Amino acid sequence: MHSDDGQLMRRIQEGEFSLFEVLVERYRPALLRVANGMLNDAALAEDVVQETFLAVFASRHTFNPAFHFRTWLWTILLNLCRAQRKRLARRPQVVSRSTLDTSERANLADPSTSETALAALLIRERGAQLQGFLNELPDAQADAIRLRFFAGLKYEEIAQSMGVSLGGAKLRVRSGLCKLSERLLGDEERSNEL
Amino acid sequence: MNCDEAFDALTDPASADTAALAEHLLNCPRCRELKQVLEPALSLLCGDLPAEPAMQDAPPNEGRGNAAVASQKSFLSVEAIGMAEAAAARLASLSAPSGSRPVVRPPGRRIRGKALQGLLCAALGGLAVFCIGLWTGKSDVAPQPQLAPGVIPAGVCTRNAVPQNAKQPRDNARAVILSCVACHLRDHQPRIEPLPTSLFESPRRAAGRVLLACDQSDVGKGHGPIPKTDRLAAGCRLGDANA
Repeated sequence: MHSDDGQLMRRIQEGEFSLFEVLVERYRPALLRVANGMLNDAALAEDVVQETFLAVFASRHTFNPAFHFRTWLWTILLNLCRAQRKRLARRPQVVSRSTLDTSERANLADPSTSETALAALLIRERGAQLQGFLNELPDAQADAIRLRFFAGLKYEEIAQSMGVSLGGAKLRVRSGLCKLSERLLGDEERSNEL
Repeated sequence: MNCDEAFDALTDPASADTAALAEHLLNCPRCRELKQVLEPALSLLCGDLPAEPAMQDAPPNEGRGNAAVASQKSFLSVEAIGMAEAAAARLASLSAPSGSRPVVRPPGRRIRGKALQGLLCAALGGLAVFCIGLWTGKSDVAPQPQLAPGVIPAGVCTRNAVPQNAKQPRDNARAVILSCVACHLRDHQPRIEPLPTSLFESPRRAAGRVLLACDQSDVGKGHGPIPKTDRLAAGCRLGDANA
């Protein structure tokens, strides 16, 4: 897929702009999931993802096949999300709505099939729990985990995307996973006590 | 598979259950322990997760509290384009081969580097002069090698040691020749090429060359032509025969 992305970008650089849609369709879901997890706001995440694609298109002439397209794409998204987080931290939030609320309504399964509905509910609950735990982690560790598990990047790509060494990227994922596991176990113990 | 690769596989949802990983975990208690520690997080991350959060069905102006802030600015900011271009430049420099990466040093470091280079050159030059001095000093007083009993030392005329010389093996021709030098070539500079000192030149060949030189230089002294076969064995007795 990597070389395919590179070829697509080459053709887009040469003027076949309609091909950009292929890249958008390919990466949008994963980008949206990560952005949503980082910003905890579905609408804002959608805006950031849109801006990421626009930025890629506007600066398409700077793409170089020497690096992977997806590393570039994820780097832009990561940076935009960080910038957005900083902006949000500076400004008071107008409405604090959980992402879950919005997606819950949208992803509500057909009530006629109760099993499907239950499964969907469990999945959503698990997703919300995971996002909550990830938000408790240091940003660097949470971002590294998101890039590894949601974006499916290799450690080399995570390292390049986050501007750290390969060992640093692995350490971030490892430390984050350890903390996440501790948190999950602690949560489980508390619920058992109750 | 080593432990590093095992960690990669362990945290890769696509290859977390490969046979190679299972085999490694079977033999590596450390990685087994790590897997056990990370298991809760891995099962959560690798399990089913909700798809992208859909916004299409959301009612207008709801759930867009923070997005309202974002919507106040233009959709594509200059900042975003700057980020994309900077990221492309950084990734391109990271992907370039290490040899082709431009190394930009601050001016202070450049000056320090030049000073260090100068010092290094001076030190090397001093060392070279010292070595040359040692070498030339040694060449005047060449150390005498420890010779086996019965071997004529170089520079001692074999004329005074005929009985010994007759018993010299043929491969000792070099010593014989050098002893000739002591008498024949020491007092006047010959018009010949210098003594063969190459380690790659066989003693016999070297002997032949020097004897030939002796013939030429001593023509005026009455040396006649020297039979080639007798040259090595006879050594400096040639002079006696002609006299």
